[in-house]
Amino acid sequence: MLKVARFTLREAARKRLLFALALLTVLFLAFFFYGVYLQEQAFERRAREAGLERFPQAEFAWMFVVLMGLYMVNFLGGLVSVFSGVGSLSGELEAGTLHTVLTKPLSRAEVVLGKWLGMSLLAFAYMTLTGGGLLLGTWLMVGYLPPEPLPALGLMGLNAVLLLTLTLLGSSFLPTLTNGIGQVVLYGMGWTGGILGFIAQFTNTPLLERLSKASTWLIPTDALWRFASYYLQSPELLQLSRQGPEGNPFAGNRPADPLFLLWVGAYIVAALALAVWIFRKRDL
Amino acid sequence: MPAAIRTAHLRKVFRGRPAVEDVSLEVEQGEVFGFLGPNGAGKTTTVKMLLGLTYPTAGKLEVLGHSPQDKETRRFIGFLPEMFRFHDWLTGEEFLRFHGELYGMEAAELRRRIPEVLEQVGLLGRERERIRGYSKGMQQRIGLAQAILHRPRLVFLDEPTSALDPLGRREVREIIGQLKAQGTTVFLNSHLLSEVEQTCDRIAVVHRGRVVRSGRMGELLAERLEVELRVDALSPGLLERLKDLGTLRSTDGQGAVLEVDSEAKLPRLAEAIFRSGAQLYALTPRRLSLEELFVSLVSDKVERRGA
Repeated sequence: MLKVARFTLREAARKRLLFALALLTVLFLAFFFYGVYLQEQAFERRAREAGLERFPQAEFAWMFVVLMGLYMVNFLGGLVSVFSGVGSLSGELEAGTLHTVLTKPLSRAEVVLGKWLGMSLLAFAYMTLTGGGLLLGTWLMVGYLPPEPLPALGLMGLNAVLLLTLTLLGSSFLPTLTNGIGQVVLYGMGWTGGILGFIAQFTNTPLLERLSKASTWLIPTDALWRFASYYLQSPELLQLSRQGPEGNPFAGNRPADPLFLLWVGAYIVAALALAVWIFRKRDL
Repeated sequence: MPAAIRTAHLRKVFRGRPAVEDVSLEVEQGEVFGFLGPNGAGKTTTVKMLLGLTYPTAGKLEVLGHSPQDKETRRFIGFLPEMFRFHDWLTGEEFLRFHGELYGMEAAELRRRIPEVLEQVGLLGRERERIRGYSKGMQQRIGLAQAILHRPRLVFLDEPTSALDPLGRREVREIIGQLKAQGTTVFLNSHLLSEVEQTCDRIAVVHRGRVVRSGRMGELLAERLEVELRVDALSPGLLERLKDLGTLRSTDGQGAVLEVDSEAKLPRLAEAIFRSGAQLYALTPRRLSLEELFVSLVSDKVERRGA
């Protein structure tokens, strides 16, 4: 199993997947930091005009900037998970590269688990390193750090692993293209579910609210982001958001629910077990 | 010593459509076994079942005395697939090392063994190039190296020379000969009947998912003879008598081509001609080639089905 995991990591490195990703990520971060730089200039100018040393609402503004930045990182990291896992089994079967591997003295479960381990590490590392880079850069430039960055990054990383596991499950029985489309649709559904929940509370529609709750448990990706976003907001902002309907479509106002995290853990294990089971039963 | 391969009434149905109807085989250890059949006869499906990639719908199979799902047994099996595609971002050497590790080979053993197999398949000196840059023939060679790297006891070669030129084919024949000399069992799937004829000890012919004939190569080829006769005049009475002894392929007024099922028929043909009063000028027996045997086995079946 570890041989397969190591091989998966080496494959990612060799196929320039990591390189291309890193390049695009640097582009994204550069774009983000340029925005931060412009904003900082604007704040300084306005502080000077008002004769102040610091723009008073700067802290508040940076919080939103970082929140939106990480929102994008979470989205990109999710896509990276889906696209790196989408053909992991099906693509190799379609190409025929897996047949000589599967006739070696290792079980199909080891192949699935090894691939999962290698790609999970990648997906988790991508999400947390990109998110961490964004936080670090912003902190160096303007001195802002959200209240609790580590739990937020951890939850985002968990989200990446969750998406990757679902994609691997799809890859165990669906053709690559179908799986890719399916995963993006699922991802989108989780997202829509979150937005629906907001609208439901806003318009006071209990049925819609129940629907949204169900989607949260069924596809926990959006909920994980909401929990992550809690740790990025100041107590004042959280206080403010608790007064209206629950949160807004982009951020939550409650800390991570341990029961829900347990559910996500069980969800990942179950999806992985199902992937192994399907792949073992299959005629290849 | 268990048989290298033993199957009994192996059957595989894909969504109601049988790919393999009934395949019973027995391959002894150390022999080169040819598995023949037209396209779509069920050869590849059978091989996949023997390798544990596909599960049989019914029937029994044993490879080296165990189930092909048995991990320990797989340590002694090598496989070169027909549609060979490998992780082409690896160099030849890295590819062999990865597969060697999967077989459970030690680093020291791999260092010694990799140059050996590279030499054997004629790729020594090219091992630091990426497989992506290899020609189709070189890819097939590296695939063959992968299949024999760990000195397996049983090797499945599915069309191992499909991408090779005549010289390459000869080299593969030699490698098969070397494997046999080392006591390795070779299960060869091939369309190239002249090659099979030169390399295999025993064959089985499958058609429409069933084994239609199997046996030792020499015996199978001796089973049928084609006899060319020349006489002064071929009377209707003699023609009838000849038809009793064999299958008439063609005839003209002074000769005939007959197919008979054993050499013992030859003196009886001469006797029949003598008794009919005809003068015998020539009686030339000729063994059928494997190709002719194959065509007769496979096309007979087609006709029977059509009837």
